[in-house]
Amino acid sequence: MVKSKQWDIRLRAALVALLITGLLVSPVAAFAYDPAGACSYADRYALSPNPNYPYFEKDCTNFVSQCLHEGGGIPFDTAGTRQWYCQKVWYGWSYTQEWTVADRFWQWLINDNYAQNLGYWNYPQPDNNSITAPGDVFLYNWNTTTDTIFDHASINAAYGTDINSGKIGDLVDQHTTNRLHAIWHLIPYNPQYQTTRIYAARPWPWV
Amino acid sequence: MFAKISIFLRRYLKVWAALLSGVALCSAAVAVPTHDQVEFNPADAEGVKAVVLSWLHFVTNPWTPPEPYRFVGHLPPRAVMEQRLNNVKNCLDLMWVDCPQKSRLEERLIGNTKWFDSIELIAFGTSIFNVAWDNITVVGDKAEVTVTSTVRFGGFWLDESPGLWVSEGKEIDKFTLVKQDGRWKISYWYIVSGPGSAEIIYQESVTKGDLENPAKIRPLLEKARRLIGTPPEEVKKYLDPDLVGPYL
Repeated sequence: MVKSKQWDIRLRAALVALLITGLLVSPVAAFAYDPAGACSYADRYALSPNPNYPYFEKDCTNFVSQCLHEGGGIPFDTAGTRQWYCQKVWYGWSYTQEWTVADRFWQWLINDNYAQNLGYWNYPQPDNNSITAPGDVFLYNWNTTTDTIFDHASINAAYGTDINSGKIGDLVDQHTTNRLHAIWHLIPYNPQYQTTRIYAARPWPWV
Repeated sequence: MFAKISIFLRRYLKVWAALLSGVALCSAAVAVPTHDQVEFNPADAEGVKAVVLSWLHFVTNPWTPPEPYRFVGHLPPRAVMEQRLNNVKNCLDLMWVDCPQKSRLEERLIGNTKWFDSIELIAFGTSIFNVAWDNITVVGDKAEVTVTSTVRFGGFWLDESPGLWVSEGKEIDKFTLVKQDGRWKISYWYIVSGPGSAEIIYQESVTKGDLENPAKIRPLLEKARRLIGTPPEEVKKYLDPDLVGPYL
């Protein structure tokens, strides 16, 4: 009888330990995406890159990844076939293509269920799309006519007026050509605007 | 003693002479063209340039209204635009080899008049300026090209904050071309960098009332036309009318 009670206590302790471990390793309950934090980070480092991260010639996806991680609080994903992280190591930087390449970033975001696919817009995209909100990410395919590969990424940082074009709508921050609060469809900045398709995604609040 | 040194030196020099002549023979063998190599023909490069520039002109202007509807504040009749899209398709047939990329482009162009139902934006179109040929390699019936071009483009907003703008940007494109039935055609195209990098060089806001007033609108549209309407002669000469059709 005593022996059976001891086993019962051990079993319960094991279950509690399993539950706690589960909570710690499961991203579902342990973290929450903070869109406002992502926007603040984006505004702060849109024109002056964060010196604590690597800076690439084509830096758009690296920048959006930083916004989601540093400002938005999405933890590094170091498990599974698609991994998303950028870490300082003794020999320099260690990062994945999911962190730095737009097309791989989208596959990680959507296929690994870190974000909801909000759909896409072909030219002519309206200034106000009524669907996206600050904290969402945009992926651009400059030539949807000839391929299905994403070429660029930006983050929706605010709603207001793009002071360069005078357009009113969702405004993005971006790198590669560093911009602060540019109209989301980038029509005045993109010679290929007539063949550009833009996808949007919203990180889940419980990632 | 002296004789021994002399013999040693003669043998030493013979060995070096043999080695050097061997190297010279090998170098000559490398330099002589083999039957697989074809001489570079400057005329081929000119043909390649014409196709590449005409192509860039097309892909940045697929939904641009034709003249005389290009710099006006209203949409052309639908039939005019459909005719334009058919012209584009015919010209693409002359520039693009039969491959998946081509069929995807045709799918988008033909029967796609979604643009027509939008009264938000009328494209002025894109003109190419300052072309730099970073690389043109022609070997036989295949050519590799890298080109940097400066483009100007713009449009007319008809939404709640009406106005017009002109931007200028730079882009780098890579092409592979093949000769088919005596004509250079594109088999692969890749944008290395550029889109998203342009800056606005001219912009005007107008009131909705001014939109209806030709006296107010015409000078603004004329300025846009001066900025992007006509590419310089050195570019225009490559925009072969046979390739770019009736619209320049």
